[in-house]
Amino acid sequence: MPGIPALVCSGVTVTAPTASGELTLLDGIDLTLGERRIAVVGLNGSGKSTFLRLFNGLARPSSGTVTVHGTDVARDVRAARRRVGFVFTDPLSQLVMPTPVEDVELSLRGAGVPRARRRTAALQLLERVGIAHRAEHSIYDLSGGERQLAAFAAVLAVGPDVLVLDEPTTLLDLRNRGRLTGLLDGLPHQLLIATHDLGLAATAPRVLVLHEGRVVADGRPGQVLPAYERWCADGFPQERAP
Amino acid sequence: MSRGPDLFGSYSPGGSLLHRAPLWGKGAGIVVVTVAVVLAPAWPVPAVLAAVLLAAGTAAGVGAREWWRGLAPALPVLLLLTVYHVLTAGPGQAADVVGTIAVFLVLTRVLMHTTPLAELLDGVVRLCAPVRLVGADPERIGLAISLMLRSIPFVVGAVGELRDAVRARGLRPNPVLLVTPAVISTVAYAQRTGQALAARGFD
Repeated sequence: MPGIPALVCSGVTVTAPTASGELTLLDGIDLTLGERRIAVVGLNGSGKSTFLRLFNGLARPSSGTVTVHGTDVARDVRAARRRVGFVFTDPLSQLVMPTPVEDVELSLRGAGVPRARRRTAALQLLERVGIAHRAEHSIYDLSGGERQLAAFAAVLAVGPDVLVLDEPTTLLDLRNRGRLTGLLDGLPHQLLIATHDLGLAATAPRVLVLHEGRVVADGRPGQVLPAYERWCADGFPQERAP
Repeated sequence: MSRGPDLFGSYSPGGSLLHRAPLWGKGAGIVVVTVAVVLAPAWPVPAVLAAVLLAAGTAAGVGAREWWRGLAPALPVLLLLTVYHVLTAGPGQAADVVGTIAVFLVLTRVLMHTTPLAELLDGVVRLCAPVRLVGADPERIGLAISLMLRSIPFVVGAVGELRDAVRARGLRPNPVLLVTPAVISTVAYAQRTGQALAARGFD
């Protein structure tokens, strides 16, 4: 799509050592992702999370290259991480400080925001995601949705161009899902979303289906998602021999 | 994951004298209390200090429930120490040791209750600035301390959840058998925290 720089995978394979040999997590991924929003669907263990983690260097390719808006992730992982904000499925894994405002302030500290401005900026971000009234509460006292929104604010504080979200609605009830998707709709960022939520996937102009570490479908949601649902019931194409 | 025991407490906004006190003032207070406790000839000094700090904390808004949440997890250890020191050195020594620990538990809670962690972090970073001379990064030291404060309740809470999981299967939790899953859970938590920090550019 013109106007939006791309996320690019060229010949990417990711393997991991196991007791019985080597496990292939991703196999021969060649993609150029230039759309404003891209959804990635697939069964548990299909490689979605590994695929997402490539873009900010949390996973490293065994072969091939990954670039984010022209930055080679392997060569300059810091630059890639400045561009790519990562939202984990479980916000408690992501929130490392006792309260939302302190967690957002930590991100602002990392982004080089002066100390005098951090508190105000953190509160503004929490206001933006709708949980400013919970800014000073313990993260353990927040609901799952509030935690997810706090984690989201902490990621936005870094000022990324791209947001990578790993199953962001999995732990949310319908109301909080609505708040999160509304928030996503209002963001200017490029979004790469792995999800089991086909309603959320359908909002993306481009959907990828991953299966056993390979891209088995890539296209518009109206074409790809019905096929995915059919494969979930009847079996996927190009299944590997057990 | 449950909250876990609230050993240190967390910041609660307020307008008390302690809330408004500058960080250097609180630091000086901590030094005074530490010196007094270390140089104390006998148990009345820590006992009086603990009482004063309890009163100061209560005036700053630490409620009875919060005091209990902070001190209750330490009671079994304090009890064991009391018995040990009573048997080996007498009741005076026991009161001195247990009183000293209580002073620092109360002091920590008062400090955490009245000071935002970000402000504490900034203070630690400033205090550690000289370590730059030997190539260390004070920001990392400050971050490590704040992560420790966040992680201890998490890890203790994880052990509690494992215990509940064992009970839910009709078994009696054996502390020895809980060690392996607790270590695995803790390492997994550390890895997730590390990844979350790396994802935000702290690597």
